[in-house]
Amino acid sequence: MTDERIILLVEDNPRDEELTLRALHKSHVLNPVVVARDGVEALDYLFGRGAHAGRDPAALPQVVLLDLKLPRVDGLEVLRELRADPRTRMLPVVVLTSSLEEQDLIRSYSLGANSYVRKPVDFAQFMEAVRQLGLYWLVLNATPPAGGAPGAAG
Amino acid sequence: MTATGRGPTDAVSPSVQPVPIWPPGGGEMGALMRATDWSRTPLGPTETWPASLRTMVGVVLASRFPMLMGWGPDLLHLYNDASRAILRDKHPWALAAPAARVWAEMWDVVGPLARGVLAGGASTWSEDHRLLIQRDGQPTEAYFTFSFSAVPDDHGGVGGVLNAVRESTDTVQAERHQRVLHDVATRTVGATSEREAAAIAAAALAADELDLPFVLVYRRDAAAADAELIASGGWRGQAPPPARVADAGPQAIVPLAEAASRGRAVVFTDLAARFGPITAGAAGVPTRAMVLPLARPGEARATAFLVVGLSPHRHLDDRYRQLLDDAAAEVAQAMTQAARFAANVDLARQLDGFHRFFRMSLDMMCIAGVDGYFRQVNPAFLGLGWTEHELTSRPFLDFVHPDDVAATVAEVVALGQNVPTIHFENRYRCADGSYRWLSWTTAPDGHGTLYAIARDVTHTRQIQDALQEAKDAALAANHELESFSYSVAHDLRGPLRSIDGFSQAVLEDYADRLDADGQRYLGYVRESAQQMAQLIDDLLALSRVSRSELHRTRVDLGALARATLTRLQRAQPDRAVEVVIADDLHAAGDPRLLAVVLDNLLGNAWKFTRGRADPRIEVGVTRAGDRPVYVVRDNGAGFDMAFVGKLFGVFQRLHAASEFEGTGVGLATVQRVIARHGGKVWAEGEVGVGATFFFTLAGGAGELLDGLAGESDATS
Repeated sequence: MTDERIILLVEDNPRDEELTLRALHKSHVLNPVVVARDGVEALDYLFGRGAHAGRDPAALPQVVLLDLKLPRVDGLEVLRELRADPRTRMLPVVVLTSSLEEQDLIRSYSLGANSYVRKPVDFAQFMEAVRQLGLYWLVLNATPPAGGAPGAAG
Repeated sequence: MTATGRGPTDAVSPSVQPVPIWPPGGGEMGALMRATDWSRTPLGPTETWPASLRTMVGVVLASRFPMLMGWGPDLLHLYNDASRAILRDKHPWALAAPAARVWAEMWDVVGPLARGVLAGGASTWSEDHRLLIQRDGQPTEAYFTFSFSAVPDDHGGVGGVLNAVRESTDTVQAERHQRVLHDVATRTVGATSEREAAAIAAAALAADELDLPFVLVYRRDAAAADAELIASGGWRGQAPPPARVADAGPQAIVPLAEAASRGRAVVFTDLAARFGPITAGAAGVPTRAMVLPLARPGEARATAFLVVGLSPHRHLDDRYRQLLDDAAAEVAQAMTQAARFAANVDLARQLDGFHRFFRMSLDMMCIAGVDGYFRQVNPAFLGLGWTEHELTSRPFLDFVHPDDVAATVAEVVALGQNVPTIHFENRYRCADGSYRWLSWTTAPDGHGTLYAIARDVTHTRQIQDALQEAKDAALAANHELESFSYSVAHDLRGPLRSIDGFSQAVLEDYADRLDADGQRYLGYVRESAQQMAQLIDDLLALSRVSRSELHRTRVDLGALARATLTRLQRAQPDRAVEVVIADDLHAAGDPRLLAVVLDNLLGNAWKFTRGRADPRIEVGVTRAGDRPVYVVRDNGAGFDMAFVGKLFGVFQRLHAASEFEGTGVGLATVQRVIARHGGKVWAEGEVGVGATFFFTLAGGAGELLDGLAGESDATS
């Protein structure tokens, strides 16, 4: 795992953020983690605008761990915008949320989520989930070619 | 000539002796007298007659007025040509015969009159006097106006009696006929039924006793085999007239059928044989009667009959027949008119009845035109607050709510094309400005008139609106519940995750600074957090079960049970449980919800058999009637039947948490799912022996193949 394989964690709850980081750390996932506290921040980061103006939007993270319930712009809206933009259309997005509502599952998948993982309350189970996520998305999974989809706008 | 014992031909025997020249003239009677050999009569040869007699004979013979005279104590008869119409078959033997013999049948009446005059009494005058005269072999009613006056003899005494007479039978009878027919016609006016008309007519006819000694009216109903007596008048039989007359051909007691089939009057005799003894009336005892069919419009064959007793003193001549025919016609007409009147009365009564309904109806009723105006409205319409005049003097569209005008116009156009209206609803403005919802049923008559009933459905509408509001509110509440559930899932679990995660972090990172109790307590903190997370998940599942749509399809309960048990086994690989699942466990239901049921029931069975030496779980089916009952049985801890009522309540637990974990939501969820399937769930148990859960689902497994797959019910 190299440094440039960034993980974008979109999580508004600082304690969940810390637990997730702890779990990644405990699972020996050493990739850099960028944290966005709401949907706006996440989109700004990915598209290099707002607070992240100047960042190269072509440099995409390895995976986005996306909570659904977020201030300002919620996770599903973030997902919709990512999938609507050719540059991020293929970006791997794992929905990581407390909800196991059928509607959330259906909406997430229909908007193009690559995976849906429910955060268990039991930290041991949470650890296990994060470990497997890291293994799968950062090691096993082959990322789409750099530059996004063909015909992607600069 | 002595009066008795001699025939007329003996009295008058023409002579071949020298031709007499007296009396001169006198027509046929004069000739007959001249030809008579008077010497062989009590009057003797005419030459010997007193001068007064000869003079009187001359006067009588010369008169064209009927005159008869009797001469001498025996009133020997002499008469002129004009009186032969009265004498009829008494001529010519009456010539020179004694009056008492010539008029034997009425001598008791006229004899005293004649003898009184002969004895010197005053002249008599009798006008239209009814006398029974022997004619054509029977005493026959006849009327005469006559006067007896004295004929003097040559010595100043009374030699004989002159009888000037005029027969008025035709006139009197004609007047009588006219009167009775008139009476029938006038008295039956206003009769309200055939029976009443017949009764009045019969009485009026029978009042003419001399012509119509008795009158009966029979009528046969279309369906009846025999005719019924509906009226009678003048009946003098000792027994009542036959109430019913069967159609027995010629043997019938009254030949009604014969008259009907021949279509004309039939005379019948032997009245005494038919009716029993009849006592005499003014016209004596009738021996014959006549049946006259009563011709009524629309009848090819008569069904009503006039039966009239015939006068024994009248010949059935043209005038009498005419009377009878006319009487029958009058009766028929009276009955027809009465029947018509009765029909009109019925119609009027019916109309009156309908009108009553029209006035009474709680529903609004109206007659309107496609021209857009009410023609008539019933009192219920006035409930809108308008007067009848206001309603009928303005186009009805004036009263319709502006938003409903277009639809109303379309409806009226359709009515104009004879399309009836059923359950069309629009709003009508009341006089106070409020609106009422009216539901219309309207039938066009095809000629521009509309018959309409409107029911005020405002209240129903209000209820519907309230119901809709309640539904909307329930839907809104449901949405709120959904978002609440979402928050519960998300927001409550977040802190729990922190509690658990950081407790674990403390245990991991600071274990060396905690003693055993501290670590144990942190363990309790984690346990509690996880338990609460489970509780939240269970409650969410229960809420989901209540909210989610029901999609019925064919479900393999056996496969679901196996999947659940496999999952349980995987979670606890060291458990060894004997599992028996029956073959062909199919049901009609929502597969996801039924999976929840089996998860809970089998999860319980799995849990409560923990600690058994020989744990066993059965899944099977039995039948109650034609309905399958699904069964999940275990030989685990069981429960006390005393608490079976608490089994399916939310948060109700029959076991201590320390003994068997659980939130007390599972069986409540099961019951909710089964209830949503229209089924029932119940349980039997015994402590230490095991528990058995039964459940049914509405619609048997066999019924589900008939297209239940597409059925779903909305979220309730």
